[in-house]
Amino acid sequence: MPPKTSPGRPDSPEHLTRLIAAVLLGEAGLDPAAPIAADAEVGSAALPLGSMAYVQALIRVEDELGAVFADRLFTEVPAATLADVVRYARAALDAGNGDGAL
Amino acid sequence: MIAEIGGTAVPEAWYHIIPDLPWPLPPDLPGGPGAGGAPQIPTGLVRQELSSANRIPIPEPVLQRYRAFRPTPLRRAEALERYLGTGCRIYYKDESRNVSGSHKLNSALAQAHAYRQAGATTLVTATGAGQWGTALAAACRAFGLECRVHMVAGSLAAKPYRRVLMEMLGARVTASPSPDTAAGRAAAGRTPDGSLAIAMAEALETARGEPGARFATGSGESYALLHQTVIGLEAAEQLAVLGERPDAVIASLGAGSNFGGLAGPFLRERLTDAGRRSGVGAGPRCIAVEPAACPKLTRGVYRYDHTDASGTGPTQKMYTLGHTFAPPPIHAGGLRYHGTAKIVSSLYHQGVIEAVAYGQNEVLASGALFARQEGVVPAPESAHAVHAAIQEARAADARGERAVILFCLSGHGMLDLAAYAEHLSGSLPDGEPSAEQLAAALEHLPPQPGREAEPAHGY
Repeated sequence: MPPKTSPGRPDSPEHLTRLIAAVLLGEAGLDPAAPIAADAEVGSAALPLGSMAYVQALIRVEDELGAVFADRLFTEVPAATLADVVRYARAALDAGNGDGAL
Repeated sequence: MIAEIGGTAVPEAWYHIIPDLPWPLPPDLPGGPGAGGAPQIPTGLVRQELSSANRIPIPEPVLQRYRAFRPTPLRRAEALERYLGTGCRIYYKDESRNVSGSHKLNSALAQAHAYRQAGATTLVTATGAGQWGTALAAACRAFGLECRVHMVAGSLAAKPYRRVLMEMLGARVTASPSPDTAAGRAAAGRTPDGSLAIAMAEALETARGEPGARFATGSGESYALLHQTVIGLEAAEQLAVLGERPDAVIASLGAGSNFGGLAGPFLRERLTDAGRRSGVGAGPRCIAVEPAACPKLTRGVYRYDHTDASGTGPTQKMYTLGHTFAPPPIHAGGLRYHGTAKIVSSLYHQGVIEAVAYGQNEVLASGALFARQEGVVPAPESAHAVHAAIQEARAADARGERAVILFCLSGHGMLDLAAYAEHLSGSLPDGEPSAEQLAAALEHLPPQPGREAEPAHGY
């Protein structure tokens, strides 16, 4: 089941990080509230997501934020960390919910 | 005869079977060690797969290109019926009439469009018999993408003009296993003829190493089955125009998109309450036909396994012979895949569909018979469906039934004449894996998750 997250645009960088971490952890079958390092790599033991689950998680994040960034992240970052995901999401939000420029 | 199709049109939406399944599909699991790297599948395709709607609108740019070759003809095999002396009516959906020569273009166009929207500049893929590689080459050309194809070496040697066609369409073609990738070098010694699983591992590796490149898969993913449902949707409408309803729906099974594409729309009657209330009963029997040399449904196991030979691709629950299984080099290269699409696997596990397996000589004999009677040379893959349709007709006659049989002629065999030449000369072997070979391959299955087995619903 997808984790429960607050809808809409996060009001702080910490909120955005927490939201994304919760979705990724939940999609991996872990406790969405568990602590996770910013440099945890998607697919590693800390974030054990298969590629399809990773895509599904970022689709959930896109839908939560109303921002589009996942395909660009996949193309530009072969081995993304939680911090990378947050950075691309932040850029998309700052660009006005479009496919944000970095 | 060509069935009257004047009242039919190209469907404007695909049929999405997943929301209609009364049970959940087992989730995918991460690939094995070395699986890292960014996802290869664009979000657009995954959004199609995740949708809760059973009707997914076809994007207009894809629909425009479909209209160049769809709707495809539904034909009645009257000459074959007369030859067999059957009381059955045998129809076939002819998917051979496009530049790729097969149904594969239906998904290739949809995938190329989605990858283009996701920012990809190059698509890398694996192909067995070459139909998928040709289709993706054509689709990449249509949407302005570069195309790289890793083609199973045994198939490439048997049908060299496939390479010409793919290169003519702008693709770069490499025989698999190749020295260009770690996966190819690892496989070259033990499997010089290659396999689709090895070619997929090479394509994944190539895509991960090239900026802007993404891996595109041919048949196994749920979105590929979705795209192929234009076949079944059109066929259902064309049969309805004729006042016909099929008793048996038959298609060959490689990874599953051809079978799923034809059978899916007909299964709705059985899967949904709305379908059951419509008064058509349980709907037609749907029969997947596989080669005896690669019998994943009829002799495989329903377990989690890797989708490629290297074990770095996603792990899915499927009927499998083991990702290290290398089928004998039969001519139906498109069916030489160790696994089965998870949707088709689940339908088989639940008893919704049936499966049969045949040897390649009996299959090609039916293919040659079909060519003599109907004037269409079926691809070796499609000849499996031809052979099964003939067996169904004979069985129905023996029961005194006048069945309506529908099968998919998924592609033509004009680039596969080497297979027919070997068959006609009597030099074609009928390879079947031994029980020991199957058991050995299954020893390499990945660890199974400690989750409950998917409960059977007794369909």
